[in-house]
Amino acid sequence: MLTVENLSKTFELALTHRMTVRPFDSVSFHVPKGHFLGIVGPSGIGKSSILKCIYRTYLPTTGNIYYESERLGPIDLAQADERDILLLRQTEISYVTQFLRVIPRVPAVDVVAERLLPLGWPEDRARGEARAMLERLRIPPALWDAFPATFSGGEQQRINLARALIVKPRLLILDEPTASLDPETKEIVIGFLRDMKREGTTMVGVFHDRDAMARLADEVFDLADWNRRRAEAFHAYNG
Amino acid sequence: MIQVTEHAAERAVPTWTARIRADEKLLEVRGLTKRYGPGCSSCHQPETGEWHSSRCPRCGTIWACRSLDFHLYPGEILGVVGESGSGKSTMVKCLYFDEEATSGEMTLSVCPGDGNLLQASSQRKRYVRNHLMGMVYQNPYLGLRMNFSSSGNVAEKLFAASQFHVGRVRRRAAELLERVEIPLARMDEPPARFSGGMQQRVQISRALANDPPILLLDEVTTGLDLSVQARVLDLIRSIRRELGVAMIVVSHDLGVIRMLADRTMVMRHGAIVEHGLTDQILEDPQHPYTQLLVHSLL
Ligand SMILES: Nc1ncnc2c1ncn2[C@@H]1O[C@H](COP(=O)(O)OP(=O)(O)OP(=O)(O)O)[C@@H](O)[C@H]1O
Ligand SMILES: [Mg+2]
Ligand SMILES: [Zn+2]
Repeated sequence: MLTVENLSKTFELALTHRMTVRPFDSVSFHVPKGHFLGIVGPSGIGKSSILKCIYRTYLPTTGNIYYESERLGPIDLAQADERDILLLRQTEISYVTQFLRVIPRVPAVDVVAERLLPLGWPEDRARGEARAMLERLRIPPALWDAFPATFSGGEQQRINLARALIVKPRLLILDEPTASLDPETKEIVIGFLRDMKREGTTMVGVFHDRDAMARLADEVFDLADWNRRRAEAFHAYNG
Repeated sequence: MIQVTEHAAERAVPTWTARIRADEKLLEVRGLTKRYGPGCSSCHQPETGEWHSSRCPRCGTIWACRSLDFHLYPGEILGVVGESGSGKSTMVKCLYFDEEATSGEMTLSVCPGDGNLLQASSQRKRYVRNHLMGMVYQNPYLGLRMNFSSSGNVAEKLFAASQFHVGRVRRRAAELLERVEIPLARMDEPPARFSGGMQQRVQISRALANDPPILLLDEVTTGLDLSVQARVLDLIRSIRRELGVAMIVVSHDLGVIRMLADRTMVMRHGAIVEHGLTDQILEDPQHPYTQLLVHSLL
């Protein structure tokens, strides 16, 4: 479903002086349909950067990200046209971080419901679906018509999840989506994600929480280990 | 209460509204160039190279737009950012024929027979201005007749599109002004008596009068108080959601661009230095100038 080949990212910064940052280099992995690939590694090693390249918030410097799209067929997300990326983000690919960045002055229920409007849902049905989603994620009904900007960290995180999950994405990119949830809510989210996997959603993500990772991941990609093995192979080859 | 339902049914819903993805570019611009001055041998190929300003050091000609290439799909919002004097306003004015482009091509998929509209007859240009594009200027004095009634300002646009039935025009004007939250009781007051935010909203209703598939917005929130800005931005978002109008949003405020635009292009010294998905431009800017721009926002 998702095949990453030789993916590298280099930032060329030219602010005060020229600077090159290379968060990860020549990474390859494959995620079968309905599987969850967890990426692990110490803080700052480049896990989130990989996820952002897949979503194309970062422009990959080299490599390919092959994805089997339902609407567009096989497509290389690293090279795809911006228009195609926007379409996939609307219909097939969702991305959740721990930080909420939504439009101000829009009530929670609409923040979630508006994801369904481009898919042709009428407004009232979209709102109904959004309320069901908020309920499932245990957002108190009193908050449904309030502005998420004032919500607690955990509530905002669940709004993020609701926005990502409501479109039933085929590919879900998760960056610490449970970081600020209490144990009980975390349970609900993990259960939810397991259900989605069973229904065929492919996932790639980062969880600091080892327990969550163990219960969700079918495969684990260890970035530190990958770097070490590459370095060893390089030295072995070059004698 | 004014009866608007009958009127709403009279108007055909344009076919471009309901599509999630129209595969055709609605607007395509190639090599758009605007020069103020005669040009000389050292600036005859203005599209090449990085310049230090839009001004040719030898002849003093200002190359406000240097060979711009871009496109717009139905229903999408294209953001345009860049420092003062980078050519953003000149670009939209050329698209709306307020300024005559020096060279370049502009085509609209909804009028394929016309070819390059920058070369079209003034009659065709008028048709495009009245039916296919709406323009909202930073300065409401450019977009409105300040001492006409507000409803008259909207009606003028409808008359320009050959709607002459007075009752119907009045109903449509009321509907449009109501859409932008101008109280009906005030629809016959002149914009001169309105606040800056209200004037921008009257401009928007006027620009939308004939259901154009494209809206051009040049710094519409610049200079407004924050809370007034917020209302105008909310209005633009809801128009996009409900009407599916494609927009070119010019702003030097990256916050506005972040909130509205799907894709963004960055202009400097009359040229496009970078373009991409808005979140990519903001989080992974490639060009040193964009990096500086984004960095100064944080
Ligand atoms: N009528 C004109 N005659 C001569 N030069 C002009 C004319 N109109 C614009 N210019 C010049 O063209 C360049 C681009 O101006 P423009 O108004 O398009 O910039 P802008 O990007 O919209 O700037 P701002 O952010 O300040 O609105 C500037 O150097 C400006 O001085
Ligand atoms: Mg300007
Ligand atoms: Zn010159």
